[in-house]
Amino acid sequence: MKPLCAKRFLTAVLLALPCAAAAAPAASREALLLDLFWDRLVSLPAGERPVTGVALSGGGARGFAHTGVLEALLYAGFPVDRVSGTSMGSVIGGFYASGMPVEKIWEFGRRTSELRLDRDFGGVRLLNLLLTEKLISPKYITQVIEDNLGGRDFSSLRTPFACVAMDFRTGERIIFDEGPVAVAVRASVNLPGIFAPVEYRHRYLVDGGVVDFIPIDAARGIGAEWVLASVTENSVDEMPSNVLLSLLQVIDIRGSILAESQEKGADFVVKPRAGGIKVADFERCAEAGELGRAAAWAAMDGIRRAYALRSAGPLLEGL
Amino acid sequence: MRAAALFLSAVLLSPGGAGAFFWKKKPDPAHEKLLQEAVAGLEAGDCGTAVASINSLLELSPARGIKERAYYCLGKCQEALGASDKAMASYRLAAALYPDNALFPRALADLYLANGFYDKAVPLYLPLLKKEPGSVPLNLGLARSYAGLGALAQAAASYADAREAGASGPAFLSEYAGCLEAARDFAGAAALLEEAKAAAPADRGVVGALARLKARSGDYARAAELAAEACGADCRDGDLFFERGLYLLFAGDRKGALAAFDEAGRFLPEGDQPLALARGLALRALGRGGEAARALGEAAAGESRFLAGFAQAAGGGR
Repeated sequence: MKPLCAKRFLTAVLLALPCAAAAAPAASREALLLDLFWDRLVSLPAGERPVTGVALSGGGARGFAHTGVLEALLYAGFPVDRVSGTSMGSVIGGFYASGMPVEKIWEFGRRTSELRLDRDFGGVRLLNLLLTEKLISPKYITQVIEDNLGGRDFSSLRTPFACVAMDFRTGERIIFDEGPVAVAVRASVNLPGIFAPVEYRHRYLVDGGVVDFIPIDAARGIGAEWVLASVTENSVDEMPSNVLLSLLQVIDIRGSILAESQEKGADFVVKPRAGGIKVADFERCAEAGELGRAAAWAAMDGIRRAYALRSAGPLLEGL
Repeated sequence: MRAAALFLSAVLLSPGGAGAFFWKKKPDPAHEKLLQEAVAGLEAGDCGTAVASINSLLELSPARGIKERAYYCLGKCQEALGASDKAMASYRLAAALYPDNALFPRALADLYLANGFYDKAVPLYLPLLKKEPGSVPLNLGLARSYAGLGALAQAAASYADAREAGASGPAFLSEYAGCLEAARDFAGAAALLEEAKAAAPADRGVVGALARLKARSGDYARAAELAAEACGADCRDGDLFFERGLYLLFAGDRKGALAAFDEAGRFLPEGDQPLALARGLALRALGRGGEAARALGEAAAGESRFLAGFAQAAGGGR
């Protein structure tokens, strides 16, 4: 029975599946044109096609979805010329821009318990805050950033990168694209009211997600002409159980509201369905990554069409 | 269809079928009869009758073994009626009621896969494969689910497992190659397709897929040769002429491309937008401005915004 079943199963589903479609003998003529244009486009040097940028939003643990988005883009051969990030997007973007393989970025998502990322939040105790009147510094997140980006300068990154923080005193959006990377990323992922502001360049810096949830302008500022935004909005429908989680939720909701207007500035938007994962759900990072990959892969045909169309001029040259 | 009927009969009618169903009490012959009527209805394509028989049967609280088979039959009937959501609900319920019976999660996984719920199929296939690692259909199901989610490394690993388990033949190799192609592993995909071509040299689909891979690797001249080979001497396949024309165009042989597009035009529907764009590009490259503008104008007026955009960028008005 096994061979019969296998054969029948194979025949029945062959043409309806994503991988099979790529090698189907009677692939549609338009799909073939897209493939050929796309392959020609991604083989063009960066200077001969529009410069791409990938803007990675905030979202805490949910932001790990960006790892999957980047992986899907790599599979498709999408040329990532510039990266920008806010909050968790700055961590993932910074790692990627440093040349870290996506598989290694995935490892952080799979090892969050081992890396104790959740303990930075677990260590925040309301009583301590009231007694000491001092905010804490996130020890474990800082460690991960320092271990992987410490000593690196923006100018030394493999892919040009920018990240966003906010000056806690003035509310100004601060875009970092030069100087040391680690402190900029640390500032970008620094949740206000929970972690102590990062003092740097005479400023008190906190998470940029409150003023710039999707750093599209930051990507354009470092030269991107066509920007893909990866946006992980909040859709948690749950009452927070304590004061600190309430604060996190307010920040998160504010970011999602901001995202609605900001995403209009992108040339293409990918929205992983990770909204149910809360900011501090670090044990669900890998799940968020998988949702990001699935969302980007499902949108890949549209991404390729949109970028190829924008590049029609240089693509048709010499054809 | 014959295989499907045999499979259903084996599972649903044989009391010891596949060793998957268990009995605590002796089945009532009247209940067996109702089940047999339902299975006969399903096999005859009369699913309305089959579902009615099963509903009557379930109201009689039959013995566990009969009830299990009834749920399976109900799910299959609902699938056959195109009521995938109802079939999923039946399988989910049965899987919860009879957790030892692997047929329900398997049917559910296959149904999720067929309906594009790849994320739900994966966690069902994984435990099934732990119990049955050498299963070709299960490995293929997992590979396809991963591929649908864009998890191409995992998909490729599952295709390799399927091959290890015995999957073979041009269709399988083409599908496996398609996965590698999606991940832009053109060399790996080409190796699989060469193997498929060696096994079935006359298979136009395989040769055509190989041509496409060569083109995607930038070897347009070889791609055009393979497309011609796929087409054969008595070719009446507009798609293959079109493909050959495109490869020639990208290889810089504009006259050859135009000739191939003209051939394609004999077999493709009139006003075909991709063909109009491709012809327009070839004419434009040959310096035949007026004809190019007409072809590109036709392409620019077509339904696909993507093709229309390219036609406009190439000089076709709208």
